[in-house]
Amino acid sequence: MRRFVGIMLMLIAVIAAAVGAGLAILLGTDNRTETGPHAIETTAPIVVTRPDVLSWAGPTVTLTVRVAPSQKVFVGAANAVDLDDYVGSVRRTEVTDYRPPWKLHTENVFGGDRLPRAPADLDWWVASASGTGSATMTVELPEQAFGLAVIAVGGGDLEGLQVTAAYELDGGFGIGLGLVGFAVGLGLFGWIALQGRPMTREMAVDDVDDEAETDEDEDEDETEAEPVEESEVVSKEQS
Amino acid sequence: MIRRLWVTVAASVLLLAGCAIPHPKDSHGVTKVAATPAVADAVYDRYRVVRKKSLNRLDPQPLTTVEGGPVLAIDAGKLTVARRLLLSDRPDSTQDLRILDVYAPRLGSYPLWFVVVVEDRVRDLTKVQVFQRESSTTAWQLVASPETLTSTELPAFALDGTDALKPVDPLRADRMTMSPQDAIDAYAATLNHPAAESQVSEDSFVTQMRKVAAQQRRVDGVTFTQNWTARPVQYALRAADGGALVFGTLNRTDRYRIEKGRAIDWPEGSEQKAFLSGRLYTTGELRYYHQILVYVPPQEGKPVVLGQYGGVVDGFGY
Repeated sequence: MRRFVGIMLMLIAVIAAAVGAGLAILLGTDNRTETGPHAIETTAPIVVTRPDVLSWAGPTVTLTVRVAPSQKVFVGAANAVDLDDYVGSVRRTEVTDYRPPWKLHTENVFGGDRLPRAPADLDWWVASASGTGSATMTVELPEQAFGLAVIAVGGGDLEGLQVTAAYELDGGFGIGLGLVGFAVGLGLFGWIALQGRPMTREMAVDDVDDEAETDEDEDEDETEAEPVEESEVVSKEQS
Repeated sequence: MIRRLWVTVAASVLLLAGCAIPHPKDSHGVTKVAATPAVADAVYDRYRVVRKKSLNRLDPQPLTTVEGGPVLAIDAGKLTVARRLLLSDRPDSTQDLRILDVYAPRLGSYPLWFVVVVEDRVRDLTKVQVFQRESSTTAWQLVASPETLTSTELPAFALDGTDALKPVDPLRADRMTMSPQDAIDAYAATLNHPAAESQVSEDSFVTQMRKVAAQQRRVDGVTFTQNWTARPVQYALRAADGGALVFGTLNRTDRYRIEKGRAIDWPEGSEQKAFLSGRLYTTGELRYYHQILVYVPPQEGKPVVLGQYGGVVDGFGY
């Protein structure tokens, strides 16, 4: 039993250390990692993500889009119900699959060329930004079904679109280091368990109990044996 | 001891994993809670402003941006009556409307809608109103506004795990005495055929409408007929007891046929006077909308009207 616990603790420690170190290295001290610029092939006036593409909540994403220098561009994030209703009848490129840091599948959807209303006039964007030639928007990915949209404003299209994405996790670097520290502690516990040394006096009693066959016996022994047998057990271990 | 240590380790790992780390989204699919209380407040603030402007000018035009459907028709009718007759007592000209509760369903597509329960302190009434957004590019509009007495207790609304209203399919009875649409149809049938056995309660709405019709029939030299039809139900929501609250609209048409050689002079300040312009010699017709809030009970009992809002919307005569 003690050996099994020791191995399991060491295993968890290794995983926690790997995840923690990876997180800390990936995010760095500014809690942020960036990918891009990446080109998206499109001749449509709109690029949107399908609702099931962004299936995670929590991190903060900063999206910077670049188009032709004279092209006005809008970038927004919204509930998928709003977004689908808004762009549903317009020619667009849909992102159908996405794997971080940057792997996209897209699909072109036919439709009209004009949106029913300018995107900046709408009140349901969770976050949005606009500019000429480029725009940068920051949004915390919410719990709700959600999509991102890049829209060419005032006619034109998104030919030459380039996207840079930055992922930010508040306190991510600290969490990574914390995980490493946690892993070190855990590994120490596992090592002690593997060595067969008692970690506390109570643990020593437990070790003896482990030699007894059943859990029920173990519980009973723990309460009954503690005051009288403790010194004997310790001396056994030392001899 | 080992077990305790084991539990502590597992709990710590789970705690760390759940803390600020990216996680899969909730499992509600592609849905949206139609409106948050903050959105409802903003929508209602705008509504108050525009409504006041409309009432002050006796002009229904501003209302078209914040009202739609039968409510707009009813309010435009009231303003038309006031303007044509230059009533000194403008309809509902002062307002002290306070939101008591906001309820919104979780919907998968447009139109989105939500319910507000509003206290009208001036008229000592409670309004149970529905705001709808037809599409993502249109504004929120008031589309139903039945009024109840403050003494009328509304059934508790059923809410899901996210405090969202549970909409009811208007065409399905689903553990109720009848479907929402059938309930509204039954009201139209009851008002059309007073002698027939009714599937709905003989409530104050039915009594009041029959009384109005009886008064019209008493006018000498005039053949009066009245016809009721039900419009399709769009908004129905589940009550906590398994019943449903249904927002229905009834069309009412009053027809007057005047005997040869006679004429009718409508009373000063009446809807007829405003819409049928003065003296009537041959025929006249007035159309009304009545929005009703109907409770359809689960299992047993007849539907009952909890509130209503209505008025003349159109008319002609010569």
